[in-house]
Amino acid sequence: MSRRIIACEVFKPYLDKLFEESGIETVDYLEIRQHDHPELLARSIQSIIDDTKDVDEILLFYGLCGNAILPLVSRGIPVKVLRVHDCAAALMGSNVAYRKRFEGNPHKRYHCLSYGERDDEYFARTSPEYRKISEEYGEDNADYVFAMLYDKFSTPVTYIKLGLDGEDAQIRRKEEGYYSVIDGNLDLLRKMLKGDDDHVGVTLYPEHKFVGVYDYEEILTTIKQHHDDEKTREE
Amino acid sequence: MDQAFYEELILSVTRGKVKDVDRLCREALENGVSAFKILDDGLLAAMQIVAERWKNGTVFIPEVLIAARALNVGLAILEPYLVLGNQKPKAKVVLGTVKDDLHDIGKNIVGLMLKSHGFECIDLGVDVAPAKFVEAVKESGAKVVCMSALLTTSMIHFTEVVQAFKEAGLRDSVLICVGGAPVTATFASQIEADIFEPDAVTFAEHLERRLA
Ligand code: B12
Repeated sequence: MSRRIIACEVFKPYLDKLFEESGIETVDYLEIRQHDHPELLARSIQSIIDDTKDVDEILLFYGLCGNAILPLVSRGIPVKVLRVHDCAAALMGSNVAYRKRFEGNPHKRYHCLSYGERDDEYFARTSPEYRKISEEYGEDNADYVFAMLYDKFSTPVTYIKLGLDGEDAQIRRKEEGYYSVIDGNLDLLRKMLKGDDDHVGVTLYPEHKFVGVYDYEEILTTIKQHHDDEKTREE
Repeated sequence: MDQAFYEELILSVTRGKVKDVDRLCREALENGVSAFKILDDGLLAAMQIVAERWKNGTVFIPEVLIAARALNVGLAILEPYLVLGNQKPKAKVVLGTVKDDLHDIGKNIVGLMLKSHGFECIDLGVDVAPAKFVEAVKESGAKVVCMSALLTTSMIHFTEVVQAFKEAGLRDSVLICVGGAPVTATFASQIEADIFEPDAVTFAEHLERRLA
């Protein structure tokens, strides 16, 4: 079966690792940053979907991602998305594992190899982002933005470790106690690639739309789209 | 004050020029302009522009934060005059981000907008357990509860808060308002919330009308 894979860049090191087992495939990666604007993220994904022809299936390595994927439509080729809330669940290997970690853990932020790399360069006062804000709005505003976004959060940040090169070095770069390290699990991503477990993803067919379920089992589903639905999707 | 004045004030807010916001607000007050007019035609007009740009995807989080900070500076100067003009605050509102959720940028803007519209805000912060919302209402006598959630994993907790108010026998004496990027009108009605709005500006106006 032929397919096209679209993925968030956060999954790149893990998919590369899985391709060592299953054979290399081409992936269209979209920047993690696109998540900052769910509508724009949906538009970017949709434009790749719209450009795709002559394959049997589109695999989308995204989750519900704060409802970002809800506006997507299939133009004929089925689109299969991970049945998860977000990448943290995907890298922990199950929604149940995510829930256990998430609820009652006072430090509810997550890092992994790709996220950590991005954060290190993006969120430091030496980052291009800081410089950009500083040049445009002045240093006091840049300081304020960084303080509001990152500084006030308590650590540890949960680090999801998956046994890849570079993880230990990344963890060591932070001060003692910054990370609380847990073992992740690539099963969910592996099953999605293999396509041998229906529950691991949710498939969107033409004339259907995604809807959020907002639990820890089903997460999202699809329903038949009515033609007068365009408006309700906007709400 | 002429149109050019308001244009400068608006630009100072959207560009985060806090010193200019400070200066312009004081100048206008000294010139006898009502604090309400400075607020509506200057500070809130600026925030409306930023909200529009955010919706269209032409500005990002930094711009939202920078404008909110500047708005806050202006508001602090106007506040004594606004309170005097209003006689007493419109209503007490308890506000917080639900359990497991640390996102507070949107919630703070909601707080700011409510304050700008004369409401008294009791901000419980982030990661707020259901019982804390109930407790705060009991202590303050607030008639409005505002919950924010930015995660599809945390908006589930809205239901628990609604339930906690039912159990405390207080459900009918408070207006429960919900919001945050992933929240929709459908979800809000499913959990029996009273008010949902997709942005803070519309919400403050809605609440004002509702309580009028
Ligand atoms: C900034 C941000 C962060 C910052 C938060 C900083 C802070 N001080 O709040 C940081 C980096 C800390 C962060 C952390 C995380 N985040 Co985050 N974050 C965002 C981001 C990019 C923007 C949120 C925001 O501030 N928007 C700007 C404000 C102004 O908009 P708003 O909050 O929607 O509020 C407006 C309206 O909704 C409304 N409103 C808000 N509240 C209320 C309440 C009422 C009553 C009413 C009427 C209206 C209303 O009024 C506001 C103004 O108009 C969103 C993506 C997005 N665009 O939504 C992701 C997003 C919410 N985050 C996400 C994720 C995954 C996370 C993390 C898990 C990441 C990680 N790897 O650790 C953690 C979780 C932390 C936690 N437990 O809460 C996902 C959520 C996925 C999910 N499961 O639902 C999102 C959707 C990104 C994505 N698509 O993947 N995040």
